[in-house]
Amino acid sequence: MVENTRKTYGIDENIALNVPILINVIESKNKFPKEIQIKNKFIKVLSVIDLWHVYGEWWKENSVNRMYYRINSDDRVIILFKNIDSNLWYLQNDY
Amino acid sequence: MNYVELHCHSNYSFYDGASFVDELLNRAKELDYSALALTDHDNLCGAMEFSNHAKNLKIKPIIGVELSMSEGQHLTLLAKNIEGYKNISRLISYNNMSADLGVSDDVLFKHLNGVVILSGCSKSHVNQLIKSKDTKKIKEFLAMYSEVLGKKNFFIELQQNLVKGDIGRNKTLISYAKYFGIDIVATNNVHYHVSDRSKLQDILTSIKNGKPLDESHLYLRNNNQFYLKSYNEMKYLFSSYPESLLNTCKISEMCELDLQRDIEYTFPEYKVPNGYTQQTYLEKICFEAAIRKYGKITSKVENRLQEEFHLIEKHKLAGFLLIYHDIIELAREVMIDLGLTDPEIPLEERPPGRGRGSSVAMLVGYLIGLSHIDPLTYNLSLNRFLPNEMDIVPDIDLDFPRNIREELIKRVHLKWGSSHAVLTGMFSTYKEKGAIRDIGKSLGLPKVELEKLVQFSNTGLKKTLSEEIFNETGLNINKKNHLWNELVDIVSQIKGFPKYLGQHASGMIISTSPIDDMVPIQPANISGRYICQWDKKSIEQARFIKIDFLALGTLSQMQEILTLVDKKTGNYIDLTRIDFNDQAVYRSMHSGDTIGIFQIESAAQIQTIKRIKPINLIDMAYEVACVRPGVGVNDGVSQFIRRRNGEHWEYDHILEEKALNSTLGVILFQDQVNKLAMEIGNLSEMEADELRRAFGWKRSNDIIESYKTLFIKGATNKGLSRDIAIKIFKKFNGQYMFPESHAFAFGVTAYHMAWLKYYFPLEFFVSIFNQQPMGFYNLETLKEDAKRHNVVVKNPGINISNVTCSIVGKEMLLGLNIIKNLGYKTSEIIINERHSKGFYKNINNLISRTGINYAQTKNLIYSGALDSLGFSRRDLIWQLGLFESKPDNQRLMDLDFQDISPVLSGKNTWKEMLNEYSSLGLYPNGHVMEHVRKQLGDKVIPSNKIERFSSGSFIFTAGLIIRRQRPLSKAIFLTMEDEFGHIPLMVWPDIYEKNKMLLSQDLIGISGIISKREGTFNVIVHGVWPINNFSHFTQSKDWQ
Repeated sequence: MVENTRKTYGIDENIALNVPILINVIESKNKFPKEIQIKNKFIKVLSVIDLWHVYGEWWKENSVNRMYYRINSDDRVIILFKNIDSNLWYLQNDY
Repeated sequence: MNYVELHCHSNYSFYDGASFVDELLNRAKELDYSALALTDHDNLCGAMEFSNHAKNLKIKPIIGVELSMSEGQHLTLLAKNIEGYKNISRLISYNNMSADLGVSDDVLFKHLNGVVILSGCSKSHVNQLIKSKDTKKIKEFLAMYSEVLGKKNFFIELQQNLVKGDIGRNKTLISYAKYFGIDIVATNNVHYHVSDRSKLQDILTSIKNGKPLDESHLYLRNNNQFYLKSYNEMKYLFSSYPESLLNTCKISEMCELDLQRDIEYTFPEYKVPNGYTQQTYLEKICFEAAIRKYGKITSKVENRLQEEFHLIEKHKLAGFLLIYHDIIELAREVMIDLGLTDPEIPLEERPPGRGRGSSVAMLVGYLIGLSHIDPLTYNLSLNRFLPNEMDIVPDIDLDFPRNIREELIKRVHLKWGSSHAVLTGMFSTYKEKGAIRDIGKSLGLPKVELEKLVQFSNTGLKKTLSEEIFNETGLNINKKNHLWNELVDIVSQIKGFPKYLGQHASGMIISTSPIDDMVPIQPANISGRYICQWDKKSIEQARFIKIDFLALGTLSQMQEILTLVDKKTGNYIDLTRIDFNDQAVYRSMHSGDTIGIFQIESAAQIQTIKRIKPINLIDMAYEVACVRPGVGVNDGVSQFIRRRNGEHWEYDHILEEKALNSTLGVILFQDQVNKLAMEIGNLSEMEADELRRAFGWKRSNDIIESYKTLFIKGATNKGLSRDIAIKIFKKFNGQYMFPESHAFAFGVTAYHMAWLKYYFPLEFFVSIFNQQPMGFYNLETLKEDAKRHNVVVKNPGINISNVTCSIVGKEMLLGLNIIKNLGYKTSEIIINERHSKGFYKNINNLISRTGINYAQTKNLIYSGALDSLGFSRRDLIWQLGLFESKPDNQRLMDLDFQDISPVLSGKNTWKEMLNEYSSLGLYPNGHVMEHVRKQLGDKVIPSNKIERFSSGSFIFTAGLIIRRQRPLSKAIFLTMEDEFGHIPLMVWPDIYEKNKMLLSQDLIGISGIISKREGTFNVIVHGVWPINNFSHFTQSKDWQ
């Protein structure tokens, strides 16, 4: 039996996938990621393969303003972003 | 600056560009750009405006387009020179006029001369192929383009807007560029001048796709990087490919188009018979017409004609006037075809249209059929229309009845062809109300609150939208919701944005050279018409000659009255020969009996005419001229009336006399501004005219200031003190005034209509009902006025009415087409069926024979049109219920309602009245106030008794609000109507703010103080109370 028939199921009730993880990043002079700290391990950025800016959802409480970087480290490709409003770095994907 | 932006959209990209042309150029100036391109989607709407503004800022304008190709791909085209510009214009026109979707490569390749092509944005063909990784096709495409266009004229376009994939795509493009030896060029695909405008860009995208922002993610751009960037920003983004920036400058140098200089417009040449020049032929036509008009050429006529001929020859205008003559002849052919005139009647005897504007002052115009006013009779001055010095071709505006104008436009297209005669474009732009609705919807704001806000805005009160939102007590707004702030910001940005290209009300361009060589053309919404992509202002800047054909409802009404009178009496009245000094007609105007009469029917016009009390046509011109904002702004109306009534006055300086003598020292006409500037400030004719026009221009403060200095200098040289010179200069303003001749033209038309109303009221009211929409009043008010003229208005009848209103005996029978939801077409079906198969017997019979739907039948019942079927309206509605759920294909049973109808209680007059208001927009048998009056008590004074009260008396009154207006003064003026007449109400802003909701209702009561002056009165409102919240009595005509 349904416990509460009037309850609205929305995004909060879904299981969030691919949630960005807050990370430490050491930036270069031009504010690019230079070293990334994942699970207490520092990973050097060898090259930036792609970068892109996402700005949107400004009409919502929490707008999105992020600079994404797709980088090469010695053994993998990582996608991370910097939240431009808070200056915090997040790991989005670690392939 | 080592960068030129070559891919830039303005708001003329219609919902895909978030900045005005001048915002882009001003930003370019700040960023030190030496040149800037404009490349809107598939149009050159902003080209002339852009070109002019850029030149003023000393920025080189580059004109181009982002063209849609046959599979929807984008391609960037830039004009190197006038040939390239012509080709771009032709390609856009081709796109608009052909059935093909987009331009094919074959068509493009035929229009390459003078064009530079950039490979385009992410939606370009080459980038679409890169996306699909089709190497073979990419190579084929680039090989073909570089070969056909030549490598000097084809560039691979790189864009780096920090969108995911830009880096990879650019790398691929560069590898192909190297492979084929094609040069690369950087652009930023600009859609707004500063990054903050990306919000407006998102809103526009959401509006375009008809979805709120929350559902628009698929269509929105990924970020706010599509703004006009500085050289340093672009240098940083393209640091790996510096040549792509240098090439922007190289392309800029290749582009040498100066649109204003290079455009090749010529007005058509009028072909004259052998042995004549254009000048001598025009003179011949005028002399022949003058003999027909005056019997002989008097010295007065001869002198005036010679003066005009001299000026016409000096300014080379004979061909221009002969083309107008040609157009008038075409209009006359239309008139003959419509049976409105006889080929035997000379053109000038029954001209198909009427001139307006300053051209009416020209005797030549009167003789060639351009105007209905004899300028010699009223001593009209030529100066404003044909000054001795002038650098522009004068404007001639012509008014026609609607049916003649519609046909005339078609015939002009036919005569000169769609590529040589087109209508001027006009941009429908965002106003506050529309902006609130559209943006609010995009933001997902509550609809009910948005509608309330729309209601409160645009009342003319100088409140900001922010004040409306955050201080208005009637709005239930969550002030913490930041979206209301966003709404305020974005509404202010979007105001004036073009929404779509439409058709100008009147302007037409005729050209010897193909118009699509100068500006793209496209079909108008009305079939058989073509418009160009420039508005009036761009056309003026391009120095095209615009011919204005205006449709004037009052001329259609006049034509219908004359036809009805002719039908009744067998006599077609020649309005040029009526008595223009008929004091009975003037007395009717003095009493304010001018509802429905052109130019003298608004509340302000009625009050003025009661005070001016015209007794001849010259006074009529004063009356018409007085109620213009430019006269009222300096208290000119009251001053003029007081002086007419004997108040002592003096000129500020005797030199004003020549200009202002006829109007008692008050500026009533535009021409007097010119005269005064010349007489006092010693300005030349051209300078005086530019000064007058500059008051109406945007951003013209510098020009006005320089003329002010010149004026004061000239005045002091003539012996005026500086203070007096400044005092006189202050009399000039930017508000609209009529030219003297225009006021005379309209004054005569107003008199014609007053004369017709006085002698033929039945025909007058029938025709004004049939020519709706026109004028200031709704049908209910016109019906009340008809009653006051003993014209009985009868409800429509299914078995007797025509499509439109008609005369039956001495009464007006309403036509079926005024019944809501019926319209002309359905009414015609009903009437044709009745004519062919006889009267309708019952509701079943009506529905089955005509196929009318439930709502239409219900409105027929409500309007009283089915009363003749022998049932009460309640019975009929009950019977209609039997058909409501009938499946579409099921045949109706032939029911005998007599047997099956229940017995319903008697009629409810109040309900029937409400139903008539909602189905007809009027209540033929009475007025709502007759019903309401009984409940109001004796304290509530009806309109016919108010004038008995003295000024300052406090009264209560009640009625329907039929009009709300806010002129330039602070107060709001409402017109209240009851069963006896009208009550003019004046509401001060504080009272209006307190009672806004109540004052927006139809039926209200008010308390207030009577204010009287010179035979007129107003009630100054103090309080408002509700009477009935039914809101469908009539459609009030507000804020017009």
